[in-house]
Amino acid sequence: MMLATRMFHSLSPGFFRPASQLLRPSSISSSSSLLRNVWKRSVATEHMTEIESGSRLANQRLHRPNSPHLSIYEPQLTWYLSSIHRVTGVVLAGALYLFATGYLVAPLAGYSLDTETISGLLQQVPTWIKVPAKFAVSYPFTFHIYNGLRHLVWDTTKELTLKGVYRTGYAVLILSVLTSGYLSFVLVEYYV
Amino acid sequence: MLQTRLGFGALRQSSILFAARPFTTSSVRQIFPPPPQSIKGTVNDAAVFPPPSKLHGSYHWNFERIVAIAMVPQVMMPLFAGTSHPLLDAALACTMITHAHLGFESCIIDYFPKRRFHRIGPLMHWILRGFTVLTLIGVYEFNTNDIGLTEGIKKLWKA
Repeated sequence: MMLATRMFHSLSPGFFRPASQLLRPSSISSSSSLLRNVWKRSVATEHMTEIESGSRLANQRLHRPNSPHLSIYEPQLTWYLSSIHRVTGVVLAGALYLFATGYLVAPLAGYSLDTETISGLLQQVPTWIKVPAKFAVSYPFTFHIYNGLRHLVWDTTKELTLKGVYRTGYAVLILSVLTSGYLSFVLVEYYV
Repeated sequence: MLQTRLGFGALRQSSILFAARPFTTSSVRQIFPPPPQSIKGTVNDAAVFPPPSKLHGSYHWNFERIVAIAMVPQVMMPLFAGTSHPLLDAALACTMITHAHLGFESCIIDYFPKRRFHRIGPLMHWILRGFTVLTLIGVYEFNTNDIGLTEGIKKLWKA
């Protein structure tokens, strides 16, 4: 009974080529001494136009897996800080873009994103939420600024050694935490 | 002496948590599926080099660095000295949006290269240009009708 099993297609005729398809060297009459042990095989080819072969290649590429990269590379300060620099940059620029376009678009929906409205909303948020939230908001800012300065230092060809990269990297981490802490924990009172 | 290599990789491999993870070759766990494929030309065509352009090269790199250096005093002064002036707001808006646009362009070139994404790559570039124009208009309106970038951030920070 034919269940849904795949039969090994070697049972189909024509899988194993007959030996006659392999031409022994002795059957070639004009064999030179160099080609004495070379066997010839008849190969079945299929004619394809360039467009057909291109579409077959495209279909193969759609099923190909990708090699792992970020998940297998040894965690290092170098590429971690580089990734964080890019992520914080995208987040900050994205926030700027979203706020500016929202400021333009909000009146069309009846809202208004001016500072009066937002500060009124923020005054109702309790302090124990606001201070950690300010740290979380200001840290990407300070990290990106200090790491950007680190990039500019590299562009002057300074600190381009492994020791220099790690030295400046730790300095960026420490400075950004300190500055962000100052901005969120010290700048709390409203100074007129 | 501070250790300069964090060395988490060896820790990962020796951890018991990861010892039981099976090693598979056939599981496909791709975060992003392959893009739509279209083959241009044949394998026998010569490699196409991008045409030389003054916009793509060292001038572009210099421009990026000049904008970044210009941002340093404009950001440090309001942040650490508390200065604020409408002209400073205008200059800060221009340099900040230019810097953001250049950064986004680098991201699009990295993640949507024209070689792989024939239509989506240029499309993302145009979407970015549209958003940049909207942002410029929005920040101009904010600086004109409201109290401005630096004063606004100060007010919202201490709200």
